[in-house]
Amino acid sequence: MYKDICQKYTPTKDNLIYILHDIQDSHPQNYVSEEAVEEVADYLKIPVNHIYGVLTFYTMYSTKPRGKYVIRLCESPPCYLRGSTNILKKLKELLKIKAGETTTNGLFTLELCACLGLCGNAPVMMINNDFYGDLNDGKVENIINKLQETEV
Amino acid sequence: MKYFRNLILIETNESSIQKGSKEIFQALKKELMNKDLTDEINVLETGSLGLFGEGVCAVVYPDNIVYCNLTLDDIPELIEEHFVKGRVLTRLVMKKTVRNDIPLGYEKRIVLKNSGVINPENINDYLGVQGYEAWEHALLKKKPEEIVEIVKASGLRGRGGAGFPCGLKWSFTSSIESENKHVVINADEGEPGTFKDRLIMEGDPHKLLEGTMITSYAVGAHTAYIYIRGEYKLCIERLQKAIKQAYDYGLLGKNIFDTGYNLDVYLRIGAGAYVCGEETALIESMEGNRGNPRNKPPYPGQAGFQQYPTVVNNVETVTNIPSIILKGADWYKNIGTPESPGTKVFTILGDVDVPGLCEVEMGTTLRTIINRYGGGMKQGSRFKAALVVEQQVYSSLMRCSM
Repeated sequence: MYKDICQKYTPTKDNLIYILHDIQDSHPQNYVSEEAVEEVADYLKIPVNHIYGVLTFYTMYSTKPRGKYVIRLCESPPCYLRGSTNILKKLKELLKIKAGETTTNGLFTLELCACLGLCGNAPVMMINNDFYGDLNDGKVENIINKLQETEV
Repeated sequence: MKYFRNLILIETNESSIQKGSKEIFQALKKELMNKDLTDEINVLETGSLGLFGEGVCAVVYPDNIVYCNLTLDDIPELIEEHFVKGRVLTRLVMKKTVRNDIPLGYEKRIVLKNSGVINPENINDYLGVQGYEAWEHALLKKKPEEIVEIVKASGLRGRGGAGFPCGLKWSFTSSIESENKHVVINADEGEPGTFKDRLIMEGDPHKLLEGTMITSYAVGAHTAYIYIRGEYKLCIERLQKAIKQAYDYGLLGKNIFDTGYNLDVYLRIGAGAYVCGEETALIESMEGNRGNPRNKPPYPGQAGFQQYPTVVNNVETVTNIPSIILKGADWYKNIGTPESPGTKVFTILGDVDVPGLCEVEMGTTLRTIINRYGGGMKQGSRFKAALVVEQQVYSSLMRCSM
């Protein structure tokens, strides 16, 4: 089922990162499954464990199913200085999960990440491809509520 | 060609987008249409104006007035006052005096000269500001060795952190005979608090591309890669557009300007690993491996990507190259200090009055950067500490209660 994605690229190892990106983006649960890894290994003629090594090295990939919305909160010093720990507390409270976990309804995954390069708007988080900056408790609540509403 | 009475440039980068700059851009267009002004006034998107914490900003040319903290509700009033009645809407004009003459003239800009001045998504805008002239000049009038010599003489040092002389680095690779050579531009910016490369790429992607082309020609490479971290979505989008436009205009591809020189530029996207900012780890990542740094030697200059000689340069370093080629090594050498010529891009954050982006001459003191470009400390705050990351790229000031 991942054949189409693989075949967009020539079967050389240096395309591995891009194939994995595409596979992950195409999956509704935002992750790279075991069967996908095997298909890619077949296509690129490289061992499964090499792919697994790559998948677990880079923070943008996941080998576990994730929520529809992947929240990535920056935990670097510029955000920390402007209260990212409070934002983390608020997110945990709202979603009732810890960092690294997914909500039971499969909507949200909470992750911590390194500097997103938007320090002018610290504290910052990224939800899928969108950035949200100058966060405070109220703003976070609004963002999460809005996303939740669109799903109802 | 169409002439416009006024040009409105809306700052669009990742920070302003989440404050609604895209919506405001659309609203401006709509309002101009309502007022039947679309033939007289043009509105475009541009890169960073160098202001943070001022909401969505726009600059109006030729008046050179900066409006800030724009909201959707302000648009009708702004159009009515400034463009129909011809009165500056003082309520929204940038108040902080320190930067009221931005974006032109205040700082000595080389790298960011066009950021906030041109539309980064249109190659014609870049061509209009002497864009790709350096590329043409280099390719038609200079031999690769001559370019290496010019860059050597300019004294340009790497802007990625280590400060290695750029021309010297090139000369290691250019002197090697090899069937294949590569140029890799390191845009895997991940140092906390540093985002100068993001602003360069969002504000003027063509300049980076032009620098990349000249670098490739100088060292004899026919493929160049720009490795961007996966989180920089807007940079990726704008560079993709820039590369496509450059191919369409025959600035890239086969037999460029009928010189027989071929060059292809590819984007490579990272997947989230801080260590990939290290050049050998970056090369490992490009080859589809875990980003573990390699043992050195051999250095990438001798054996890099796929074991071919590879020059790895930082975004800001190569963005200096077009100006050096156009204006000469002597001109460049007179800027900055004798040991470190040129300018440096800084981002100033924390409890300063005007957090923002500036490009200053090398040798500028931290005090000047904070007091002059950052507008000094915020009222009620006293200077306590500065966190200076990656060779003075970032300074953050912690709050100290009075």
